[in-house]
Amino acid sequence: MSDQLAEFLRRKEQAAGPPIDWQAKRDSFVRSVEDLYTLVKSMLRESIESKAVTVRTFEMEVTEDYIGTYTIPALELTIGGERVEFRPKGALVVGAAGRMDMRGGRDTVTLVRNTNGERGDWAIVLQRVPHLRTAPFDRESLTHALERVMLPLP
Amino acid sequence: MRYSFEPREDPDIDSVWRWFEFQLGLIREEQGRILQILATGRDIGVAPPGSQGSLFIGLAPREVEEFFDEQTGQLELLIMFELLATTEAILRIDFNARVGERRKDDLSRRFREAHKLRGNKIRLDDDILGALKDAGVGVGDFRGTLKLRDWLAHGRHWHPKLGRPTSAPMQRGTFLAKTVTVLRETQ
Repeated sequence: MSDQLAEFLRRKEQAAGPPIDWQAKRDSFVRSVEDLYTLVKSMLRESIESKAVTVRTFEMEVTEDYIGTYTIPALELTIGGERVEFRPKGALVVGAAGRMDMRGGRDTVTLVRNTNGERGDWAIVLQRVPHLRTAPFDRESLTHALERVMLPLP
Repeated sequence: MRYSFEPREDPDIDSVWRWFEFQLGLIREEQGRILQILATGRDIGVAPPGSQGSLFIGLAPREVEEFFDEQTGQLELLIMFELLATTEAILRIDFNARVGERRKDDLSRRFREAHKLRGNKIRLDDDILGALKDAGVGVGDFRGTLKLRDWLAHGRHWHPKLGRPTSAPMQRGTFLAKTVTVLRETQ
């Protein structure tokens, strides 16, 4: 029995393939999040300069399997007394290299980090069912996302 | 594929249970497949539109687990309804057989009395389960599930006050096994 056990464990170890550098995945995710914030700020530059939008970053903790607990910046936009937060969810998610939640007073929109490099680094999930629809993160999709997560105009 | 709306002459609770176990196995297999993607640490691009996995895109492991727990919970409720309905069918078929065959045992006599009184409007609780109880068959737990059956059958649009046999073990399957046992005691 012990030989069978050893054989089973050996085969499992072999099937696992080369070790995964989880810390590198974490670092790559953190850099990607920082790059996203830079992009958001550049998209909102005029509104920030005119004080229509206030931007603040703060540190938050994320805990993930395999990676552990780490700190990562979150981004807060204040627009007319209403807040919208970009909160990183984690690098270890299904079908993407990371996720960010964009949370407002009305709703939350999910951003996923692409790995194929064809449609930019981040994409907004527009709809999950019946079929997944995403849009590259740009000024147009940011506008759409803000309209969705913020309270409606009176 | 055959679609049959013909009456079931021999409702089989074991086949219902096998169906449940098979569906449960499929859910667990799919959960394992999705979580395995995460465990391998592979960098894979966002799934193409329409792919089956797109439902899970961006979900963290805990959210994947919650999704599949919900699927299992729905399946458990559905199977409980199917078990209860099949149980009722078995009891009603047995009722008709005992009445039609004019058996002489105590339970059959009670069934015939109920049939005389109500004709074709036999009530599961009062006429069948009540007679079973009077004949000394333990149906207390099964009677306790009738509220659950009604709640499921009518779309769960109220908060049910389920008794101990139905509420506590709902998620653990103990209740399901008990229902099967109660059914077999009544046959």
